[in-house]
Amino acid sequence: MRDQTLTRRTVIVGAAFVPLAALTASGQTQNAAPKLALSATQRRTLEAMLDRLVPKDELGPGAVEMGAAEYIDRSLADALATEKVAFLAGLSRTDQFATTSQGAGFAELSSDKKDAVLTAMEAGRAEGFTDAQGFFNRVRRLNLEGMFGDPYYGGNKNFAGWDLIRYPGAKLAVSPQDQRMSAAPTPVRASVWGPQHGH
Amino acid sequence: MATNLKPVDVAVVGLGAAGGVAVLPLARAGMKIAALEAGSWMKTTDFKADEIYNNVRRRVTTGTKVWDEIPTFRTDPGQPARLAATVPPMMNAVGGTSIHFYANSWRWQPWDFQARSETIKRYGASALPKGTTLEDWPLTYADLEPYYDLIEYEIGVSGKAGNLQGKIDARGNIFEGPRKREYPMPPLRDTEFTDLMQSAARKAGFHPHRSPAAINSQTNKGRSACAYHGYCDTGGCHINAKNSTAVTTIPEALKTKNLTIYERAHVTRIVADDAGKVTGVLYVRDGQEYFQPAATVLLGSYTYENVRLLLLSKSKAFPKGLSNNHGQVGKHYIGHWAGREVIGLFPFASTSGGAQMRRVWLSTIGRTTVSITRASASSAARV
Repeated sequence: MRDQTLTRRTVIVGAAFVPLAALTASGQTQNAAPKLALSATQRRTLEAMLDRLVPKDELGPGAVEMGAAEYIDRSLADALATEKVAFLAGLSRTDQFATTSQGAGFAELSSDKKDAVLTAMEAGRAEGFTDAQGFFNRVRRLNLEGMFGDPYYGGNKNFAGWDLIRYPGAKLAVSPQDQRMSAAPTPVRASVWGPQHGH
Repeated sequence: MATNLKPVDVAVVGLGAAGGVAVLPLARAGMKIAALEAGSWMKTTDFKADEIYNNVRRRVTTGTKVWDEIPTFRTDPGQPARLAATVPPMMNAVGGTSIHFYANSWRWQPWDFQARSETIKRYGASALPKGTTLEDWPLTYADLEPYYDLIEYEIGVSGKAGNLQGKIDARGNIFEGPRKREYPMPPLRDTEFTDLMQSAARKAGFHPHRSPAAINSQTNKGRSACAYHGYCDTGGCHINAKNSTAVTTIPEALKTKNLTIYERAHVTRIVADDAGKVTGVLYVRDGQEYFQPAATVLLGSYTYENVRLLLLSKSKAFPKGLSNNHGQVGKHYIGHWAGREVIGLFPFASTSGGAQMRRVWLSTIGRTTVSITRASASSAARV
């Protein structure tokens, strides 16, 4: 288990602050150990892809650090379960194409070679796929959801995605001051599903 | 075998934006109404400030029924029918699409009622495509104005009149048809951003104005004013400040005790006698089939469902489906869901809400069709 200590601690700490609304929605509240869809190898390939789409740099964490892979992994085991088989096939073909075109599985390649693989997929030139472009676009789209969505779903860890785009976060009431362009509102860094999410 | 129910004056199929409005005058007139709605009541706690929930997974706008019944399409009869690439938000709930809509509440322009004759008058007959079936409506803006007025006041619309009995006011929409009185509520709050846009538009020679919105700009009939949190797009309002029929006309109609709502009721057929007169509807609810006799049946279940029900409702008098003896049902298709939108990227940096601020919808009608999970899944399935 990744971050088991942290997860348990934040759940316990968070539990003291869970509002009544979150408790009544407990049927939908995710537990400490959400279901995952990917094997360690598949997860590694996915993370290597996301890490090239949005690498960490001097401006802050990249997609992987933001939990985008965790978001996709959980989603494929849950809301996107119908997509799981196709998605796993896409990951496997990415590795096959990386091997035939660059000589090793995707995660093993240098950054330049990874980019060559992704660029070929994005342009629809990668061999071995029925729709390389479709798969690339899907990974890219889910990556964005994972970076910028509510952290309840496993991504946007520590609200890094919202910090990156200066998203103010969800306020149940927004004042005229909050809507000014000349002054930044105080950001809200909380999941609408309860304070235990996002850390 | 269907269970026969007690006859009613009116059976309404679909209790959403249309059916949910129609029940109010009928109930007030003392008619007994059975409203058959495939969805259920939703609560304010069903509406989350969560874009994955609302806009990506569409938890508010799509339920099992919608996912199971995605319309198919083809561009010519020789093609195999394919599932639509996007799922229009055909939500099932008491209040229907008025729960998640943008709450833009426009009246038609006088011109819209005479689209054919006005087009010919202005551009000549050659401006119409050959074989067009475009017709004028059999009523005019003036005919409908009292009813626009009635519904704006009943539901609650915020806005600023631009044409008050012929008197033009540049703070409102100067292109609108004459209205009898001002909107029941002033426009929603301006912001520095809307001020900036309005001033730029005026400099460019446009006539910007606040769009009419079925959203409370102030406390309205005991319901809260809008809190401007901004997550009601493809979701509902967490404080009932958006005036869906579920919080306005339907509760008002229920007060008369003349309206009975049947949730989870899937209407399967409109029944007609041998002479072709409609006698009621058959529906399935929780696995049990019922026949609801009714003197009048109102269809209010959006284009697809209305057409499908009519075509399925074959009888001796209507062998090709109810009211389809001329083969017109399902033709001249109009859906409003493929909206037009302009997204502008602005060169200035805003200090707040970067993503929100820079995406500016200039569209006033319809809505965007965004690719959603199922559609993307089918493209991934081709990998």
